[in-house]
Amino acid sequence: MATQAGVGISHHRNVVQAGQEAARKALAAAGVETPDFVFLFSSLGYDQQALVQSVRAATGHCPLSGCSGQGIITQNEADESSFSVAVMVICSDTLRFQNHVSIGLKQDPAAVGSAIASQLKAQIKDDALALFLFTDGLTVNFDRLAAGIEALGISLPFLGGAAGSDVDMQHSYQYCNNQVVSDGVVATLLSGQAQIAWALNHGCIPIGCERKVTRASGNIIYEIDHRPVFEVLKEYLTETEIQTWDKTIVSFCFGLKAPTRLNTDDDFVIRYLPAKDDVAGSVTLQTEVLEGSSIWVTRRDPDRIAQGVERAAQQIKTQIGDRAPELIFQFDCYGRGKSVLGERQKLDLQKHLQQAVGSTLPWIGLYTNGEIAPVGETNSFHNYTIVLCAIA
Amino acid sequence: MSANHSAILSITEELERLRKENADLSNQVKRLTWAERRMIESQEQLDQQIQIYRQINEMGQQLHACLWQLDAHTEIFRLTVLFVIYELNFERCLLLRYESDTQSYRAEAWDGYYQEAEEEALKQLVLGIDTPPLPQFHQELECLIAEVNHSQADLKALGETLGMDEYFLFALKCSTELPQFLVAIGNTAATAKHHTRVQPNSELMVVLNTLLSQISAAINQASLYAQVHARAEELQTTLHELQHAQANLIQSEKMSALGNLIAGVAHEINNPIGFLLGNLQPARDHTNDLLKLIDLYQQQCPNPSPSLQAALGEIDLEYLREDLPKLIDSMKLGIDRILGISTSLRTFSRADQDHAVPFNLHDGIDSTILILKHRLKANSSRPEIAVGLLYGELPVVNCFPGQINQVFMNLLANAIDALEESNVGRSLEDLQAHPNRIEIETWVDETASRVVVSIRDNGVGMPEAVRSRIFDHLFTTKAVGKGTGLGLAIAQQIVEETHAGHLCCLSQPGAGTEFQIQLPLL
Repeated sequence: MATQAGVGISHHRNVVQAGQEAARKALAAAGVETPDFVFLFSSLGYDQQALVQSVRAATGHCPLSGCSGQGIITQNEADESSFSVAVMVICSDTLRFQNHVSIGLKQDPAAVGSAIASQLKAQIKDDALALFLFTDGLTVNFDRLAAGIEALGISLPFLGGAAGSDVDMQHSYQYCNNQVVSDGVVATLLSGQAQIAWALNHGCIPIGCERKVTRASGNIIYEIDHRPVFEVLKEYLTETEIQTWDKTIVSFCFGLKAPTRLNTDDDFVIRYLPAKDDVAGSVTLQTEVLEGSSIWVTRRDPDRIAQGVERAAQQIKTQIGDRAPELIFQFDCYGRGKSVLGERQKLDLQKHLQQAVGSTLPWIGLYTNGEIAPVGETNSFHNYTIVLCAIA
Repeated sequence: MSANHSAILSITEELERLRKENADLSNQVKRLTWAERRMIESQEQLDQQIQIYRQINEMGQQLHACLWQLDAHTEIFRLTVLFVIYELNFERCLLLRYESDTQSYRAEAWDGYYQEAEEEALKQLVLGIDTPPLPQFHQELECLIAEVNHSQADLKALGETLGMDEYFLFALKCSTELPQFLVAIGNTAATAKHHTRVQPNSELMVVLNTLLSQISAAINQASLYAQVHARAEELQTTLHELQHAQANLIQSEKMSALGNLIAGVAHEINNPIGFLLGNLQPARDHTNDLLKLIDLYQQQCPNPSPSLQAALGEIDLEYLREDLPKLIDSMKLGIDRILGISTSLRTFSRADQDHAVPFNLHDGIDSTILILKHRLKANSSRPEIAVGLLYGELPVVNCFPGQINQVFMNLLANAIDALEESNVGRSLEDLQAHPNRIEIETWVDETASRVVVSIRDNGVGMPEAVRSRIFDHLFTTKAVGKGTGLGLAIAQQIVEETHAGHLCCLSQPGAGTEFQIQLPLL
């Protein structure tokens, strides 16, 4: 049997019918009736709990992982509407999936990481391949979360993304079996006889000169070049753009000097700013930032994005060689969607990527609030980045 | 020192200049980036507008394509709600139709209401034309807008009825004063953030007004097409009825002419039969007298002359004496049979009156069989068709006998045709071993207060495709010139329309055919 997988998508506005339709299509595409595992990604227009129940009912209540996204990606679709749901069903005698959930990221990400690691520890065997992480997209501090997991000796590639939030940036959602949580992380351990390959690329370029972070705490920046952070931002943004933060940050991000340990081709790691605090005069990142760090304001460059996608496809093919991919996951920043490329160019680029990697493969993905993938040996968090993962 | 100082100054100035240039360039990049962002945003907005107008155009084509459908209005409403939900991204759309008899609006089509209770509420929804703020539509107003934070009590109350916290309510006035349709488009507060918001911005209003204009035009056109369609159907029905009546008339005339002919023949036969019947007894008496006279001659003249004896021997007087009464009896029998035929012909051809009269159905069947006797007889290609009569105890039935006889004639003639058709390709031996047969059975169905006449043949039967159409006007499986396709249609009309009875056909390929005539016992 090896691995049978299929992906289904629905845009039905009735949440129950949407879940059933996507699951039914996925089962039909896979040619199975009772899957071993289900990945579910959904945009935020649906009642999330009702959606999970509907998909679970249609897939025989088998284990399920996933999260909300700003949009959904499958073969021939990259939909950023509020109403799309994608289901991947997997039935395999060579791959195993085990999932766990823990909440409380905002309060103590390291403790959440430890809780996940302690649940996983006994399940990690010699054939463990990777750990998929779907985290809250608004409250995650990835560096501390990863440190919490790795502190218990778990040394696996982390892949995944930060869940997309609704338009008023109040909640993002993570799914684990019947549970729908916020402020949490769902970890899915992938084990078995397979090869896992991944590639990533951000496609941003700096605007203006290097600046220095002069006051910061954890993942919060207060001052840049000894000036209040909002004063600096006003050089780049209008007052209205600062007020409509949720829209603005889709096309506005920071670049931090890439640590040398990451051994990356890019000079920068890109950082999304999921939250601001007008009273405290601060902006929040999803990773730690040190005072004295070099920082640039960056923008997405469509040409670099296109080149990066091409390179990511090539890297995947190089890594897996002659093996045929069985599953493809795409975790793509929602800031790389139609807001920067326009709908038509986005779809053209997506089509090009799928043709390069395999236009008939079971392919599922989502538009995230942050992307997770190792750079070199280091599990890292990214923004405005595409992470492409192939299991072959 | 001075040179060094000068050089340092120069470098400092150069650095300052470069820093300033860099800052200028940086500012230019910021401005360019800002401009680029605006450009991308406006391009995306433009693309979205083009996309929505393309979709509206496609919607127009779909509406146009459905105008000729019988249920065009239903399709227009379906397309409308789907477009509002899936293309314009509103949560809910509800179409209400005006009902003049109750002077209110009722829900006609909707989408976006996924709770069972909501659906049920919509099915029961009745909005009187005076429900605030609907009277505003009686003037020129075409759209009411309830934004999310509106404070008007009547808009709020109407919103609760419509199941929307923010909504547009459009009036489609069509050709009358009162809006014939109301279209509510909007969202609930809970999920409004995921949908197009209800705001009176000019772009959205242009899109919605364009859409509503298309729908309004489509509804008007569909109504006109429906009127034209109804008129065309009416004409078609009239034409069909005229053809039907004409065919019936022709058939009736034929039957009437046949009846007159038969009645005429029967009448003409009756006169000579009268002569024969009237003269037969005198002939018998005269013959007896002559024989008595011969007896007397023989007693008084016991020794006749040789020539007389020779003549007596020649005529075989003893045989003649014995045979002559038999001959006259035989003539009487023949005349009686001719009388029977004549009576049957008159029974078959009797003219109906303007009201039903008591009639013995068995007489009708018998006379019809007699008329068709020549077709039942053996011929060179087959033996005689046997007719079995299983008559029950039938009361007289009030009916129009001439028409009922016409039904018997049609069904029996069809049975003979069917049997002859089934004989094609069969040998004489096979036909003798499995002879053609028609069974006629009658009984009273007490439970249904009906008399039933069943006419069965053991012919080839017929497939369902033929059986289901045999009563259709002008439908025939016979060759051109052999059948008009009217006989069974008229038979059904006579039984069901004239006599409130029922005529049905039971048949399967290879299993023969049975017609049942059911007539009410009044």
